[in-house]
Amino acid sequence: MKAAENLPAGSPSTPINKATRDAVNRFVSTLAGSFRAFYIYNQDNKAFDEIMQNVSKRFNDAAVEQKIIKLQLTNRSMVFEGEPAGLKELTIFFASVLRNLGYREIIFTAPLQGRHFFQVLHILSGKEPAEAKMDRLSAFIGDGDSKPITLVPVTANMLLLRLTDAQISQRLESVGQDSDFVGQLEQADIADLPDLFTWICVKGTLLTPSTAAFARNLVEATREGYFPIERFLAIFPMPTRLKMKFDNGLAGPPPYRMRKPTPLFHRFIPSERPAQKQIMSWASRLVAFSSDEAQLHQQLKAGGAVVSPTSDLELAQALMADGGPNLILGIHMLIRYMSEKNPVPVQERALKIAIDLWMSRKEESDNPSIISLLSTLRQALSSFNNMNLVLFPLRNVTMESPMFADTVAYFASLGKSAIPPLVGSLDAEQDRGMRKKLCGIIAAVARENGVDALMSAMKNASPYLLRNIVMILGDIKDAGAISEMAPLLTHGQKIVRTEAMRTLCRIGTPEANTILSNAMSKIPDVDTRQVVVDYLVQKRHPRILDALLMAAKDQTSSGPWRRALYTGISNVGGAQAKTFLESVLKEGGFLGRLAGDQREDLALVKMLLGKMKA
Amino acid sequence: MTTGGEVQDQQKREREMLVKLLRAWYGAAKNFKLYTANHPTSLESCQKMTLVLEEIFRQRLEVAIQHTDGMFMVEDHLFIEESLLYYDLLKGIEDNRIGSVTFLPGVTNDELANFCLTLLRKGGDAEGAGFVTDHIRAPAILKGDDHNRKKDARIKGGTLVLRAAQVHEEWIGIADKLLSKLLEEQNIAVSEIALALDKLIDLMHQSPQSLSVVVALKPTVNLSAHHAVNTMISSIFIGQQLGYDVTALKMLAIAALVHDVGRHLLPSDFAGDYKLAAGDADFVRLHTRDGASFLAGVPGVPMSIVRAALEHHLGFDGAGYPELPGTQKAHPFSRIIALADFVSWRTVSESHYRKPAPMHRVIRAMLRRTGSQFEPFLVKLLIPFFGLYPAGTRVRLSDGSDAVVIEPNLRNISRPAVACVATDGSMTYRWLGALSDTTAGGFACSVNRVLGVETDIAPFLDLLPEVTDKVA
Repeated sequence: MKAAENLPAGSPSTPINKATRDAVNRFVSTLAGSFRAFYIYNQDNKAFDEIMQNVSKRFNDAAVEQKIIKLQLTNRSMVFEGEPAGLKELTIFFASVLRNLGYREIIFTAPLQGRHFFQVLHILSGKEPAEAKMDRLSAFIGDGDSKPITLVPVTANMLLLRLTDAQISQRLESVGQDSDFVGQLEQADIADLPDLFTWICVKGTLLTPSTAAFARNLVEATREGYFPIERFLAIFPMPTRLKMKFDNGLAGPPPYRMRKPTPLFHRFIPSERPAQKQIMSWASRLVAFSSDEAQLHQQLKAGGAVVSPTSDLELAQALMADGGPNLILGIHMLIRYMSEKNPVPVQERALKIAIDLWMSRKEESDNPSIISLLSTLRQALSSFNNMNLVLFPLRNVTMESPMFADTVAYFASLGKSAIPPLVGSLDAEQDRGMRKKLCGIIAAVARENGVDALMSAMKNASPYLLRNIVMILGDIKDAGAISEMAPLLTHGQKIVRTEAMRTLCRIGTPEANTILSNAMSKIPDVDTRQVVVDYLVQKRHPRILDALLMAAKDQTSSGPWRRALYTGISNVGGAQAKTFLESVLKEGGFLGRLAGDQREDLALVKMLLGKMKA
Repeated sequence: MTTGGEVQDQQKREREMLVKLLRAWYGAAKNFKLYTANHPTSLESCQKMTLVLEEIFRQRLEVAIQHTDGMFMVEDHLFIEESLLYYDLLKGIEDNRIGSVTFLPGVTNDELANFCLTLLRKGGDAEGAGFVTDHIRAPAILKGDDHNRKKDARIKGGTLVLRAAQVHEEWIGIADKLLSKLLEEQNIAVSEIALALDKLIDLMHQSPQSLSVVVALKPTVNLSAHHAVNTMISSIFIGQQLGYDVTALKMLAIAALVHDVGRHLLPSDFAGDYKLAAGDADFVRLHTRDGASFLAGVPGVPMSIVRAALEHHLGFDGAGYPELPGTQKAHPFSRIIALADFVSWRTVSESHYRKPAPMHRVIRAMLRRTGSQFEPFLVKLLIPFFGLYPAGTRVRLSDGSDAVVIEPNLRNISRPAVACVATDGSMTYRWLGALSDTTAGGFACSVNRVLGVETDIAPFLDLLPEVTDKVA
């Protein structure tokens, strides 16, 4: 607020000597620096005592000539008597914090001690929300009277808005009693409200300083739309004639006109002239804020630009429901709210809308206008984060429940892109039951969309994950997976080998059987080999006998493996098998193998031959 | 070759050494204050300081410690905590009017001891003492030697307007670049405009009048950029009047800057036409939704900006376009930008479907539409920025003389600052908000009627009185 309203350029102030300015600069830097220290130290750090002492020393140095130091705040700097004070690197933060809380000036009145500064800085650096801080700082807002540290709000005077009419009237009592002021106002011939406001500010010199400051604040709050004009006219002491004039003016009809729809660019032109002559000029109407508007001002200021994401989502939903060109915009907005940067409830809400949309629109892939958007939507839906949000509720349902089936159908509709995130969650999952459910889901998705994605996930998988994937491939029984299984039969981990073997058995095509028979003797585990042999024999694999005979002739094979081979050979049966077994029996006598092993072999072969004859 | 990490490590180590030095120095100064000059403790602390200095001199040739505004500085590095804690030391240096202290290799204990004693000897004379030996250079600043940057704080009012014009010009360049980058790369580089935005908001805070003059009178060169910048400036003013904090203000500014991006997405073949064909009106209407769709696809753009692009042609009474489904209300940003957009478009547009209107007509048009197209409350907030008689309006005053408005009055919308032109060509400055000296305190003069427009008010700007230059 300018000191004298009729001097736009500001009145020339007494020059500040350089020493004072330097001292103030040092004080401001120290103060702003100590504000930073509040973020670095704990509040009970002993260094604070010293720092606060030093701040107060700096202040006392600065306040030698002027007992009151007023610092104006901008967004970036603190201004002392028209020049920025302090080191900018330091003050920029302090000034912007104060400014953001809605203060335009901070006034220090000597003498001050460390604790005075501590109080303010402690509140400012706290972790509370801005409203709570402002509430606590309201003790520092001076209302005409001087305090050790006074904060001046940007708006005329926030304290003023909390005062009742009676309290304000009491403060303005001396204005009404000042015959000079009221008398001059009577003669001044004021026609408009802006003129009245200007007049009060300029002629405030006739009043006592504190009353003048209060009146000015009241006028400013009214002019800026915080204080409703009705209250101002009711409270402020002025000649009856003037009051009547403005009261009547405001009671008149609204100056605004209705319009009727016309073609574009002409539609906003008012349709008819107002019937009644306006009682007040535009100038008056434009600076008079009704109580509704003052309330609106408070609301808009408090909310700032914050409109809740849910309202944006509602708009998106409405736009999508509207269809047509609005659909595209709605989908765009929706996708924005599905990103991880938003709070989880917002994401969940957006996801719910998106799933509904996807399930109802996924068939429209022939609609060229939304095809690319649908693919973007699919991408967003199958992001790791959004998949996890959908998977989470499945922990509490069984695999037989309809909800599980619905979810599986939804995942399957997303296509191949759903598999990598699903595999990712399978990898990260600790719960056994949930792993099983995940395997079921992945199997269902892959059955519909092919196993390529699943096989590419195998490349860098851990053994446990690999086993799960192999198991899923077995469930699906897709012949495409056979080639990937062969190297896994000799994998370093037994769980993987066994599972790969099982999967190949389950696929059971001739191709798979060939791979099994080729890899048979390379599998390190005898029990696994046994299973393979049993399986192949049972399947009557055409070249099984040759393979078995070849393996059995291998001199290096171990006892149990040999015996498994003999059993397999006898199970295949036929003349060739019989001849071989008899030759084993014969050779056993000549070669004289190690006693125990040999005896066991021979006993088994004898038994097998007996069985074959029978 | 050193990597970035190594350089950082070295800088960190160097900083630690300097902190050590300051601590040792502070200790020494404190000990000399507490004990006699030849007390073992004092001498020991000097010894300690010498050791630290020796260690530093392995890396560098000298250490120059400066101080500005109560903070220690070494080569642009601030030592904030140390400055806060070592008040006594800093005070000693300041009292002796020493600007900077330089230590050179070979510094001895005796020199340090003498130096510390000098620092404690409070400068009895205002000239300050200073201290210079072979290895310590701490000269006192001469009187009148301006150590801290200080300039004449009073400048002519016209200078501020010129500065505002410069900022406006800069912003047109920025807006042009920003819009083309947005269209080509689908990206708003917020970091690139942050500083310029700070500058603009500060200027708006310090001197809205000068920006108002520029917005009202600067001739259009680049239509879309000019429109974007003017809309942004008016929006920032409304936002400030509303009491938005800086973050919200910046968001509002960016929203205003890109609100018409949809116009660039329209087919180019009618953009040059002066009059719109009958069917093209519907076409133009598409720009809101197209712009919003486009912005929604740009990563990192907040939804409020998208909504501003979508809703800035919605009226206060719900008419306008596009028709929103259901009971959706326009976003506060959209309501502000709708108003700013109207004022700006009516004054800058040359190529589309209207001739640019003089500012005072636009203000009247805006007032006529208040309550129907525009929210009365927001109109009331914007009006002081231009006043009822915006800069450049030629008016006849109540005393019969003709004048040109050169600056709006934020406090009283019908009483701007004018330049009166006499018949002999001499110009005088008049502030219509001034009360008369002779009568019983009424206003000396007021505006009676509008005569026309003066597009070039540069000759009158010199008349504006001096102001305090708060813009750093």
